[in-house]
Amino acid sequence: MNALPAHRLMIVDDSNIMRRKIERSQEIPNVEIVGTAGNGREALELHASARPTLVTMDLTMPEMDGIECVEQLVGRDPDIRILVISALADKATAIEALEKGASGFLCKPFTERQLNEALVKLIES
Amino acid sequence: MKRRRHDFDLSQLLPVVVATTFAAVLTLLLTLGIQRAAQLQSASGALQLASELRSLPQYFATELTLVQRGLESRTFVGEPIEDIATARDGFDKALVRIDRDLEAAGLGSSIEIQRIRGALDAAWQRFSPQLVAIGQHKGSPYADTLAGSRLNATGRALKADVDAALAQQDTVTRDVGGALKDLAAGLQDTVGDRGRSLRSFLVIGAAVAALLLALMLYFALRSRRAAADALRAERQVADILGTVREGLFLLDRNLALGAVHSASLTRILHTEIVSGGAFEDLLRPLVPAKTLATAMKFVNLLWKEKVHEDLIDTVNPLNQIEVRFARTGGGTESRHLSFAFRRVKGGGEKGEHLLGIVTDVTDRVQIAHELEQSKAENQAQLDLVMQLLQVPGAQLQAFVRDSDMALRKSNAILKQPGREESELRAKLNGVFREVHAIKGEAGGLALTSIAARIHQLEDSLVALRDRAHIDGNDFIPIVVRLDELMSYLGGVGQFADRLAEVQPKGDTLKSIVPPLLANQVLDAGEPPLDQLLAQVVRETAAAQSKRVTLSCRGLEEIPAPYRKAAKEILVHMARNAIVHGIEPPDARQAASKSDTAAVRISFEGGAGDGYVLTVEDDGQGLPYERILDTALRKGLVSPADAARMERPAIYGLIFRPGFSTAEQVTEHAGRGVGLDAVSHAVRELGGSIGIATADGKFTRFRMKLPATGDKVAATHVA
Repeated sequence: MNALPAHRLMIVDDSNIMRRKIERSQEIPNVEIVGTAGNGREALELHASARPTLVTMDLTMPEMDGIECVEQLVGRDPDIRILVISALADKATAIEALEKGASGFLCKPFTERQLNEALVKLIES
Repeated sequence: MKRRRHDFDLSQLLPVVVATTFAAVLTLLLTLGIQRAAQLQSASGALQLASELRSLPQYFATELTLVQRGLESRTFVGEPIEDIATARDGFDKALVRIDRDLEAAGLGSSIEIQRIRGALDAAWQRFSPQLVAIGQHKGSPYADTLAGSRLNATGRALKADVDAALAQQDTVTRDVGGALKDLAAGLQDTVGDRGRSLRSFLVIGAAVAALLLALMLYFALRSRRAAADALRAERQVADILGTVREGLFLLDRNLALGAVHSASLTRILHTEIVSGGAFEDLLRPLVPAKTLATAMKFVNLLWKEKVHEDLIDTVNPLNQIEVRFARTGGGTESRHLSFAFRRVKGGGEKGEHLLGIVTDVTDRVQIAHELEQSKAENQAQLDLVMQLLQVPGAQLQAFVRDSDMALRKSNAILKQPGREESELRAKLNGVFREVHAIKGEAGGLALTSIAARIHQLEDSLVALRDRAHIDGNDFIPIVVRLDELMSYLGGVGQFADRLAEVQPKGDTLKSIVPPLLANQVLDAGEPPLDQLLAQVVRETAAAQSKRVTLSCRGLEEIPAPYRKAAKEILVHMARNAIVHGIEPPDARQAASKSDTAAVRISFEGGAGDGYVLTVEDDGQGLPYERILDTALRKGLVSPADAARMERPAIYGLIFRPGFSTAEQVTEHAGRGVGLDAVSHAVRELGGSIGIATADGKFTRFRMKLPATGDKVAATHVA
């Protein structure tokens, strides 16, 4: 008897490769990937149907960037936990995303282990 | 934190609770003791009265007897009767007082005492009325007659009462006395009881007081020990804060600094730490405004419950910052600091403080930097070796000889007398020309690592030259750098010599190309010769700040046996043409020539009488007078020969060993590099070199090579 996965993960990144990398790397047993989105707008649409509890969020994306998406997601669900995954060009931007309600930051490029550790901490927080 | 504060209060409260309880018990005991003492006093009073009353029945008997005898002898009996009344009244009053005392002594309800008291009362009430009656007789008891006095009616009644009372006297004495005796005995017991009870209370009270004292002492000791523990803990905290190498501090919600911080903080931040001061103010002098703003935002993130502190380390803008501190002796000092922040978990869910940790990571950063530098140096050495392998050994040796000579000459220039500003500047220019020349050559040989080294020296020369004022001391660093460069080139020279040693001796071609390189030349991957030459020309021209176009013709026709040697000869000649033949752009403009010089290289022939390799430039031509001067100075020709020499012979001098390495060919920044080596190579191939030149117009070298296999005697052609 397997319990239902406790956490529902949505992956938001405009890069196909990165989305697939996160999908493949994620190996925490009680986390289920409920969908992937290529930009902020898609993420908001997907959120309405998939109801994720965890999100990995790229910052620079077309149509709607990560910062705005974080703000809107947190507006809809204050308990949602968002891990910003981005290359660390500008610390100020990353800090802005955290101010808007993201819970943590993971720097690209990352190893599978770093991703999983970050997700565990995200669930703990 | 809350729970702990509660614990603390309870332990503080315990002595108070215990003391209060003990005091209450003690008060109760003392109250009871006082009560018992009062009862004891009352009982004693009653006992005293009872004892006093015991003599009264006897007194009444005596007085009654006095009355009786008085009546018989017809004497005055008023006085004893008065005494009886007083005593009787006293007895009544005493009884009232005894009752009051008994009540006060708590014996009002004692059955035994009340029984005795009742018996006393009954006995007294039987006797007392008789005494009252005796006192009630008024008037004289006697009637005087002639026969004498005799009792009258009153007297007879009185006598009857007295006789009656005396008749009862024994019973009264027995009953009243007995009751009083019993009462006294009962009271005696009561006094003993009360006394014992009082003693007990006092003993218990004393014990309680002693216990209280002991407890108070215990609590006092405990609190002293606690205070000592607290003091020790405080000292230990102070020791830790004084010893720890990191700068530790606390921040509250307003990002104000806490009351304590580690001693290192002051040292690391080079400033006094004001408790309660704003963290922002502490940081302001250290970082740019933008970083400061980002840093404050970052620190405030740690108050956000949603943010996981482990997941934001990478965005910490204070992770590694370079700061500058004023040095005590003037100037500034650069340090690398790293700030980290941790939530301090208290009893509550959210931390009440942030722990700030500052580390001086300068050493770490420096080590990383040095590691990078040494890596770069290793890479540079490897690059150098690779570059050296690309250069023919003889050319390399020639270059090293030339450089060594140039540097020695630079040294000699510096050692010349002259401390005037103008003389110093002349020296500087002289050294600069030498150094610039060998840099150009290194560049021409594609020895970029060496060129870069020389460039550093050149930079310091330029810096010195651009100064408004110079004196002799300014040359000291130049001398040091010259030395360094010389030993560096010495190393290169050793390498070049070793490279030359590994050449096989029996090589028929006696190529100036070392075997290692020769093998490379034969590699299939070798670029076509014209491309190689284009590169050499490009590099040399760039190094010399000259503009040159190269045109090549027929080089692909060079027969295989000549290719290796031709390559080396042409590379050499092309470079020489640019370094020595071609003027700088401004000189060319002054001579109404195009800025961009032309170098033409061609290979022709194959029609029986061999081949012709031509290298031509449209430069300044060969300055024959200068060549002759140089040859004279070097002793290559005697003055007598020199006077007879025609131009072609003079030009031929540049091929003489020791010419090119001995002196500068021209005034121009550049040096001849081993034309003797070229000449040698051509002769080895059985060829000859011819020169054609026109002042200010061109220089053309024509190298005649025999048809493959043939060997023609070397001749110099005019």
